[in-house]
Amino acid sequence: MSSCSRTRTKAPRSARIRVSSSPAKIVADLDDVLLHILSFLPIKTLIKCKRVSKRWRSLITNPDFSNRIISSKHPLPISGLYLKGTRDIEYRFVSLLNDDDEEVNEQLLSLSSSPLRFADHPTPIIVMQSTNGLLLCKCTCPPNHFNRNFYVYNPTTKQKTLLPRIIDHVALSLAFDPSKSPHYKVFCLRKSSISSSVSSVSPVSSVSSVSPVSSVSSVFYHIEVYSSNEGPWRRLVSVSSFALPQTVTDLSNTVFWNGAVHWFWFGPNSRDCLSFDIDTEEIKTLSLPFLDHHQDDEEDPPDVGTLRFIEESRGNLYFIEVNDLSSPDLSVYEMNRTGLTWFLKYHVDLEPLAAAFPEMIRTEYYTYRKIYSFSVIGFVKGETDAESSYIVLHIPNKAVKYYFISKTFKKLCSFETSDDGGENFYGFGRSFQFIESLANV
Amino acid sequence: MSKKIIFESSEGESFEVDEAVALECQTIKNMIEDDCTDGGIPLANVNSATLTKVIDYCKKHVEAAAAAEANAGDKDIYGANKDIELKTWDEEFVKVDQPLLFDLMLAANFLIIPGLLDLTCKTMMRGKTVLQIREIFHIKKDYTDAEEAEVRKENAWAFE
Repeated sequence: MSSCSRTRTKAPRSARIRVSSSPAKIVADLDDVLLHILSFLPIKTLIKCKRVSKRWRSLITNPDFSNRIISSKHPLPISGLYLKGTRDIEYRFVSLLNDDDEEVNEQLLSLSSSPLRFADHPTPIIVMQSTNGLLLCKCTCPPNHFNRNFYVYNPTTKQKTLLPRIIDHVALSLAFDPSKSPHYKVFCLRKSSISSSVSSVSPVSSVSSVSPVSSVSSVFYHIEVYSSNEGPWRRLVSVSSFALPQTVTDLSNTVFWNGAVHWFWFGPNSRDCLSFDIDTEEIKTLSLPFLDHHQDDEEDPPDVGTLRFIEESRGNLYFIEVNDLSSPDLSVYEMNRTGLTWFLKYHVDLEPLAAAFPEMIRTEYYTYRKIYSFSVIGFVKGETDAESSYIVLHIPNKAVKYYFISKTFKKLCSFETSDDGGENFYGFGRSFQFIESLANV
Repeated sequence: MSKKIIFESSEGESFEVDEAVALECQTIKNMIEDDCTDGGIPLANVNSATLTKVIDYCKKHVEAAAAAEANAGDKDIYGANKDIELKTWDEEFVKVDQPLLFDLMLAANFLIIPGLLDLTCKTMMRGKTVLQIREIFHIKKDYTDAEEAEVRKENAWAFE
């Protein structure tokens, strides 16, 4: 009985508190409840919510919160693609959202034709790599001209960090996996000075039969790392200098996948990839799938690598190579996390696409062959199943997405004729994923 | 017969529920484990209207979990349908006015019912503009116009 009367006297008192303080006010005042509410919002809306009040802004920009959000939502969806033109360093943007709303996409595109720029920067930036929401970029601004200013940039929050100066770099690669750590690392491949490195040289351990001794040059390389929490460039002492095949020229094509940075190179006879596991610090080469074109029958070597595309999506690595533009067959290879074998994952038949978009069919200038004009600009692995996996193709004046399983396609947006050369079609030079992220740089 | 637990709302009204239903609330679960639920549990900060809804939610989810368990042997389309049915039920459940939604959110936070907290939080923010959010949460704009323009600029998308 006594307990009963005690609650009765308690009730009106709490009711009085309720009158003076609305439930909305109580929720708004409780940080943990408010943060819980906010954690359900899409990243884009969260960014918008910074405008609500100073307190909301400080909650949302707090690294503890943003790190929790990006790790819990990982992998974040790819919301668009930055496309680099072949003739200039202006980027086009293709939104992969608003699936059913072509008009919105058109509108976005028309607004996005300005170059990708830092707000306080006079010159445009050049994107080198996109990894889980962060971009590795370079620009020609002071203090160091000649594209030696390297930045890690979050295009969602527009935050950027200038990396400490590095000279004589051969290639850079950004490693960032928000599900494992809120910090990113940048790896740099550098030539070792011969005198200091001869004693510690070891050949690259290889899972393939590549890099026979004869093709190994006398140049040696080592790896340095910059880390967002530990700071400046330092050489990885656990990794001794190593040689690379002489055919290696351009290593600008880089992907962070499966806990390792990958630098790809494509020569006339070698198409390989240097893979560096950032945890075990193990270096190896990874072969790319060789397409069985009837090389033996032909006197002249085929025009290898007319079109290539490499991208990571939801934990898998995808590789596409087209050597014969007159073939309607497009093969997509996949490598899963075991990192051992390539699987022929999908076939795309370009014929129905060309029937819908006849501008794709051109006559080759020299041979008068019928060829398909297109380039591959994106690959998106479906969130749940293969049904929603698609490829993004650039065809004359348009970007289209093609679903592998249903074999259906859809126009994403239109481009200006000047963007892809009109009659002389040329695809975009590179494409980079845009992933909305709150990651701090 | 299963054990009953008695809740008392802020108005002093009693609600009798099965123990299984009360166990949906982590806070109550702890109290039951500590054996301090005799004579009813007074919930001084949950009113009757809110408590009725909360009990509805817990009942439904206990039933759904029991049904799912009964069907666990033959995982077929039926099981999947049940899932969709519960989702639809949840969606209907939160079609309430703003104050009640806040009350439910606070109750879910206090009683620790993660599913209900998730559901109400998600519902609260769906498709709201900045102005609407300020209105809902009774937040006074503390930015000057210039400051707000600055935040807006800083957040403008590359393609917006």
